[in-house]
Amino acid sequence: MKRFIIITIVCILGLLACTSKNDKSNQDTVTQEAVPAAETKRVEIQNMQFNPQQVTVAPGDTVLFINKDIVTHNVTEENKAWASKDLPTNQEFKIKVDTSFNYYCSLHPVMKGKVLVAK
Amino acid sequence: MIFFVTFLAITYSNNKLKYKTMKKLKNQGFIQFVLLLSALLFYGLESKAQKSTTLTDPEIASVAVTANQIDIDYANIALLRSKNAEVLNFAHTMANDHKAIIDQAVALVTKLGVTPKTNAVTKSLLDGEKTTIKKLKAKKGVAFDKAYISNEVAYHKAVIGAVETLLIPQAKNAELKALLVKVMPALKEHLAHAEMLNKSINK
Ligand SMILES: [Cu+2]
Repeated sequence: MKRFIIITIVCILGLLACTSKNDKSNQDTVTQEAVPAAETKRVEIQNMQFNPQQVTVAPGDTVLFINKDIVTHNVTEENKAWASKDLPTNQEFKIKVDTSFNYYCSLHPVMKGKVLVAK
Repeated sequence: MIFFVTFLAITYSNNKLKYKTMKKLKNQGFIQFVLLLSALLFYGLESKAQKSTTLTDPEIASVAVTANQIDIDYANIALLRSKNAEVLNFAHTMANDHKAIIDQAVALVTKLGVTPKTNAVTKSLLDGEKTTIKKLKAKKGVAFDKAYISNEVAYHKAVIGAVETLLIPQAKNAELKALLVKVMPALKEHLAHAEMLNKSINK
């Protein structure tokens, strides 16, 4: 009985490992095919500011926010349409952009920024 | 008869006016008190530091940790008493940010092998805290929110003044000085945030 349980567990673990590996490689190919020319623009959060405060991107580009401060920040769309989770030091948040938006940090509402999509 | 009605109307509006003025005066009195308190606190920090000429690095570390802890204490009172979502959000941020600053300070002094040393400035900060906590705990509801936020404005102004004019210039260790410089933008953002809320809750 004991042996049966162990074998079952080993099999399940093996299966899980296989599926997650497959998922990952699938995802990689899909992203590569779907957005071949898309760029990633980086916005650093430092000294209680989004830097640069305004970025211009092409439709389909990704903006990467990275928190370089000692305090936690987040990225929240102006009208709270969406928000990142709270980002402690060195944590990142990525968003694929199709339309322009204004954003702020809901923890520090004085901090504001803008992403412009060039036509 | 017409005269009587007019007389009544005038008396009524006068009383209303009086009541409004009294309320306004009361508010002004409180604001003056807070300003005085912050001036005293700042003055206390300055004169004490000048008397003893310089603060040593262990003393600066003690002042820095104490000043941050005091704002966490205020935030914890607000988290228990306020019902205003924006005030609660602000208090959460204060508690988290000042904790992060303390963690940095503790990590640095541990690395440097420095033990924070209690001093006259630390003591005057703690005395100020006692008085403020008494005032805050005597208030409820919107009156509490107003008292908490206007104290946050005054307190951050006083701390920014102390860090800029005393702690940074007097810190000897370069890393300690750098850490004090690094926390300035957060203190200034907190002040701007508090000023923003001060406006919105006093509308
Ligand atoms: Cu923030």
